[in-house]
Amino acid sequence: MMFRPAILAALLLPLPAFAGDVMVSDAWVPTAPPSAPTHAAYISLHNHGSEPRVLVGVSAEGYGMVHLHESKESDGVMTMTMLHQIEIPAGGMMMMKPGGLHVMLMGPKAPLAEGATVPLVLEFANGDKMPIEAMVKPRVPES
Amino acid sequence: MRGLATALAFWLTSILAAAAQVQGVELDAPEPMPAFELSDQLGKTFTQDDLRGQWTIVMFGFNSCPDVCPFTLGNLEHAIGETAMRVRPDNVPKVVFVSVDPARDADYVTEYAQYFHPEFRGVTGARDQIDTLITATDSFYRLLKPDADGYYEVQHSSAVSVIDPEGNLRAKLQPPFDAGMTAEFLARLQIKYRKEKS
Repeated sequence: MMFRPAILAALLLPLPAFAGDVMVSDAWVPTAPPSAPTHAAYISLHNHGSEPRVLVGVSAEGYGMVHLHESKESDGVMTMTMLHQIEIPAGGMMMMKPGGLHVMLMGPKAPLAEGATVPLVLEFANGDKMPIEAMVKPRVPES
Repeated sequence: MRGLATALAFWLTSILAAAAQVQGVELDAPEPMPAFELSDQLGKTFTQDDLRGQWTIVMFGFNSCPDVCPFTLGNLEHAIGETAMRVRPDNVPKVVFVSVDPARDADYVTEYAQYFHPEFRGVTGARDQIDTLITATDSFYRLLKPDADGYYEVQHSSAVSVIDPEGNLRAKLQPPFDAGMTAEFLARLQIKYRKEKS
């Protein structure tokens, strides 16, 4: 076989989003009430490179403003903190999930439709911009 | 001193171990709810009288909360579904979402809650009325200072309150509101309540 396994895998998989060595493994926006003034996006990134990468922002055409956020519970109180950067270690990953790291999408120009995608642009500290599509799907309850 | 530190460490470890399991904490004594008046987005009132005649779960939050509030409401919806399989239909708790952010939410609070389940209620009201219910349920919230764009964050208790059919606070449920464990806790709480009353 002429192909090395990694190349073969790349040929077989749908084209993933790349920015240098960073790859998106998951990106979704939970369906939300039509009047919800904010939406969330959860993105997971793999850094296949040998240098750490730093996510410094996200932009979204369909929204008034976007923040990187972290929800935390301390002494029974939920607090959201705005983050200015999230590091993805070399060879490591960064996973956003409900109740933790998330992208807060404020001031939606239109309500969400299940099955649609929300275009986002990830911005990195080195100036890289990475356009991605986040899938709109229902939240799966904890069980 | 060393003994005290060891005892404290042991106590803390036991609490942490228990916290990983426990979905709810029962109050030592039921706490009656004071008079208050809130209302839904159509102006229908929600008062202490609405806490009588059925079990109620009261959750505090705000509509602009993109992450934790929808997560909690979704998990509660799932937990209520599980509870419905374990208790009589008239013992399935009613869920009430109380927004602590009336300035932004008064016009949307009900549709917001009902998005997660058509029978959830969404209410808010005057600051002193919200505060009355917050204090009575030993809950907490704080509106943070607005940024340059006028946007502000809201901090709030993560636990929700379980109120019995006589309008007394009986227990607090804690995240992540695992559906099966929450349903089990609620079913046991109701059995204990009925034994007390019989």
